[in-house]
Amino acid sequence: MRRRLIWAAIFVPASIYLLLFFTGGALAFGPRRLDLSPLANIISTCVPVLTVMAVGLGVVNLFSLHGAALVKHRPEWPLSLVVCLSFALTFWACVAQNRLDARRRQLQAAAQAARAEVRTFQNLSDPAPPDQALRHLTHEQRQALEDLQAFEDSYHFEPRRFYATYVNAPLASTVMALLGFYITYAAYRAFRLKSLEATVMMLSAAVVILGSDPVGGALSRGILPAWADFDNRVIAAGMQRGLRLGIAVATIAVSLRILLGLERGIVDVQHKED
Amino acid sequence: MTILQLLQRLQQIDRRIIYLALVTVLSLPFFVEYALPVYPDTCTRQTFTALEQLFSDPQTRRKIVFIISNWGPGTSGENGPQFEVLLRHVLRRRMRFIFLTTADDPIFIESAQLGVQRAIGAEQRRALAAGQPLPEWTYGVDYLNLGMLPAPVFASIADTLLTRTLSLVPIDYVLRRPLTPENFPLLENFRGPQDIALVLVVSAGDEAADVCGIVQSQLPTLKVATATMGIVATDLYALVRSGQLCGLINSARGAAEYLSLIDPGAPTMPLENSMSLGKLLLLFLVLLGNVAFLLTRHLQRAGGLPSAELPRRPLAPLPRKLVLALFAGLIAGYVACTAIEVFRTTHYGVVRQRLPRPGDDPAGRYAPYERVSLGALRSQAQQLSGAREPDRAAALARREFARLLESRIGEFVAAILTLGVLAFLIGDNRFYRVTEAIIIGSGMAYFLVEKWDKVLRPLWVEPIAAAATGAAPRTGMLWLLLLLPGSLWYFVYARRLRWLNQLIVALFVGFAIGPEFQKQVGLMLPQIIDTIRPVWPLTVDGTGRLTLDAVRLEHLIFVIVLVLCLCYFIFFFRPRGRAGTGLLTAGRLALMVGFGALFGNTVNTRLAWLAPRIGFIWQEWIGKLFAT
Amino acid sequence: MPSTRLGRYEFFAPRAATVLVGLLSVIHLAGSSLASEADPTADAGTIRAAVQRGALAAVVAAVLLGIYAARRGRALPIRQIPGLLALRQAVASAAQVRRPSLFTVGGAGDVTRVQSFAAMPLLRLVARLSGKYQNRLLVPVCYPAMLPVHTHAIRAGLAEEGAPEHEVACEIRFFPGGQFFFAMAATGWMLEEKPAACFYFGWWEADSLLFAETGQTIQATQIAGTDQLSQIAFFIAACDHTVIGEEFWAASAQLSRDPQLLGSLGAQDLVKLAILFVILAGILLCFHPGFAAWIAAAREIFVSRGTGGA
Repeated sequence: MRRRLIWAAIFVPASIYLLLFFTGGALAFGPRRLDLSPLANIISTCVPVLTVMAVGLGVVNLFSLHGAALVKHRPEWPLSLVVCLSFALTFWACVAQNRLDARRRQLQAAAQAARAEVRTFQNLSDPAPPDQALRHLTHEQRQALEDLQAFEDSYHFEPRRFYATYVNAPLASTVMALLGFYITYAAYRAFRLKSLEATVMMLSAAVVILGSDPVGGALSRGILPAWADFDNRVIAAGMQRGLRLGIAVATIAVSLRILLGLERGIVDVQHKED
Repeated sequence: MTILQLLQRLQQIDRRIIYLALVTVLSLPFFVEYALPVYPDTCTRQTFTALEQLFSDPQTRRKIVFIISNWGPGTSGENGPQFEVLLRHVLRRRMRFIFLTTADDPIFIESAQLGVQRAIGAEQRRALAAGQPLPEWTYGVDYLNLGMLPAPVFASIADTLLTRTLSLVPIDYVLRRPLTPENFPLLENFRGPQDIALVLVVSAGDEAADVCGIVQSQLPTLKVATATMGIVATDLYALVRSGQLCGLINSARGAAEYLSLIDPGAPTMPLENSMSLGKLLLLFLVLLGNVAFLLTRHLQRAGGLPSAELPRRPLAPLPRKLVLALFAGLIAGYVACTAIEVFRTTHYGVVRQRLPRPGDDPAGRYAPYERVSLGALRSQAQQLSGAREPDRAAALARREFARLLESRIGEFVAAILTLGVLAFLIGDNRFYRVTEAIIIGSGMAYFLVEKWDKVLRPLWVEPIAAAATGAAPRTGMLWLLLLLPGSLWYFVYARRLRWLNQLIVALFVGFAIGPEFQKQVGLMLPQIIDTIRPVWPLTVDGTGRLTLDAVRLEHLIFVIVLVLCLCYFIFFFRPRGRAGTGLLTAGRLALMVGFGALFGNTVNTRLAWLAPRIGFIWQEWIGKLFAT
Repeated sequence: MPSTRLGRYEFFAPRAATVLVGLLSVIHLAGSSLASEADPTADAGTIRAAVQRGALAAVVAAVLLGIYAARRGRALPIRQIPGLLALRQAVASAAQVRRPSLFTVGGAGDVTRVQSFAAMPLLRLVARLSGKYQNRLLVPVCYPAMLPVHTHAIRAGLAEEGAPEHEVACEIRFFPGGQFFFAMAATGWMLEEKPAACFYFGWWEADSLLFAETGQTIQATQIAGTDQLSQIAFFIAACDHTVIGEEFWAASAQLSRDPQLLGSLGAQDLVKLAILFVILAGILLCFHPGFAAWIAAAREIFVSRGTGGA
């Protein structure tokens, strides 16, 4: 029973996608038509929401480890303290930002009526009051506009934006930058003339690297870029298409096997629990 | 040390020495400027021609360019120049455009917004240098920023994004106004995909393949072009050949090539020079390693020694004193830079980018940064707003000053974190461990908040709240039912009811495999049909002579490689005899050539990620210290 | 031993579903044919959609036939995949030197990728071997929703070996923050724990080289498998064995030796040969001017003619 329920949980959503594909998003029964696209919209909402609902698992996993290190005073406890402190600081930054954003939204909502009133007199390239329309506003509407303008004209430290721009982004891009070092060392270490295959791979890479560089183009008067172009457009593209055709068939086959409940080890129930 | 030992050492140079050499080489172009010739490749030329024809066609000029900008600071080394150069082409031909991102981080749309401003600035500088009047582009009339439309998987949103855009995006990102033609005149001519002249995808991934496979398969007249990283671009060449993509810009090199087509004679930038030197160092190291390898083998054979594999050596920790000296120097340097910046800001003002001005000497070279005081900002604000609102001008100036100061402080924070991550390269150390702990803790908090803000609240909480308050139909309350499957995640902790957790996992298996059927078939069929072309390279021309058709010859080679690679993965095929073994060997060699090309493209991409970080340290963090 | 017979229910439901989908398609085509008569411009779209559906139906039918044939004992024998053969030896060697094994689907392997699920049979095998040799297993995870997926695979593997109590030695750690933050933290964990065998399977993106090079510095035996062609080059350069493209998809069939899965694999090969045949036949037919015009028309329908197409 459990196995069948689990299989049904795989089968139903996958079948909906298949149904949408085979019917073109609508079922036609003679002149009558049943639109199936709301199904697609429901799924496109459910997937991210359900994914996010699992976030508690990550919180439990992370803080059980670092919390235990702190409580039991393990050797790595200072680093666990840094983890917890940086979590708290970042969380505070994001929450503080939400309060600021809420205040901004409140002011915008209050000024919405006034903005609607003056809309026809606003020039996008020079949205500077005062103009004739303001004379028709009530005192409250004018005050709301002035409050909003005062808020937007003043500086507000936005901690979350600061974190995203000056902490998160540089960290992520520097981690990616490490790959530049690694690929240099990997090429130096791995590209040796040990076999025909290794030699061929190395030569192909060298042609593409040098051919894609202005120096290679200048030294070879455009010959190396042409070879690199040929390597990419013809040989690599042919290899990719050949592999992709096979991978496409394999992906369909494996997806079908999962759909039909033939693939074990994906989501499994032990026989004795069945 | 014997020669043999020396040669063996040359094959196993300590990786940290190589890293140091790489940093040195990448840093040089930021101090010494020089120009290199650029040779645009076939694909870049074709892209330029295709876009030029599109932008000149009276039919398409009335339509808009739809830009999907899915890149951020992490891939700005490649995507930044690509975005800027393509946008310059769009701006120069006065094509109207809208842009958005499907990434769920505001930094992506802000990178795009900054890219638009840089492209406008570059076009303005070019116009000034050419003696033309300063061109202008108006937000809402010439271009529009639709902001973020988060989609964890682009394929799931690709169709709706292009066929029902305005139903997905309620307000614009800059002015936060409803998307109506009254608010934004650009929208008068944008109703749906029929009003899109070109879909331009600038990203770090292969979203263009999803657009082709899912959307273009239903709308075959839709023109799609993309600019992406080298490693992804190699995947997409096949789509260019099949005509599904009308243009492809490959990595930062492609951007430089495209720039040479829209601005012939423009010099190469320090970033491009830096990557060039990095590639040359890589090739030199490969050459060094192979020369040492071949000489070692020769000496071993000459000496009658067996040629043995070099033993793997673990990464030896650096001497403690060296590590301490390094970190002491780093801290001292950082403190000194901070002191200099504090002094100069206090005395001369805060640093900002210098923008072109109408009075600039077209032949002059101006520093990229300048310092500006609060008083100077106030004067500039008063000039812009006139004498009408002196108080407002003062407030705007204070805001601008505070933002510039915040930006500079942020750069100092970014610098120390950058150095912390780079410390990983010398091996396990405390500095790196602390940085890693900050990454884990802050990453968790940011992840929680982002998921709440970008997914849970807009897609689930707000519809339910609206339904509960009567602002939306009561059926919205049905979303509460998602709590049932959502709670199943936590049954993994339950002993007896653990199997319930497998239900939600199974549901996601279904969600994962469902779209694959359409996607794979949508990608596969055009590629099969495109492969069917004439391949016989010998043709007879008008005078009756036999000529070699290069395009057909290329296609013949393409088909041979395709057949070999496809045959290599026939699992029940067992090589019998020389023919079968030969076929497998040929297939393996074709694979190795292809993977070598992929590796080569990736080198471009990875160095395009590294060079901007080196550039940030030298040009932005330290370079701005000395702005006047 | 895995069951080699389908239960009656499991066999009936797929057939019923196939019939249902087919019936709906017939109804839809019957209904839409009236619409296309009224609107001639719908012909190209109808043809394209029909061919796409037909192609998918053909592949599905071939795979189902392969499974049927295998059930009747007519499965084709397949060649070995070297990377998978080395997997067992790697775990055994790690146990000998008393260092843990590590398995990860990387920072891009989230719960919406079918490749992440396709890697789970391999994790199950590694877990089983870890239980057999009583060796530690480290599993870094990037997405919370993947935590239970990994947990189930490990438990299933240990249960197969009859060593469920070994779960305490299998450590699953969540590292938040996205692909690259995950890669930094996970590779830091690798430097700390120094696993002797590292396995990278699933959907891999740029973080592949971070893991592979870190594995090099700690002298681990590394085995990788992905269908992401752009990452395979790194795995080839840095890993001891690489399972390439389709071999990754064939892994579960090869490991389980289930005749039905092997039968489907054989059917895949026949589909690929059919594709090859279509391509080669089409190329030969291009010598005929009539066919050349027809294929150009087909390209119009299926392939958008961008001005830059080669």
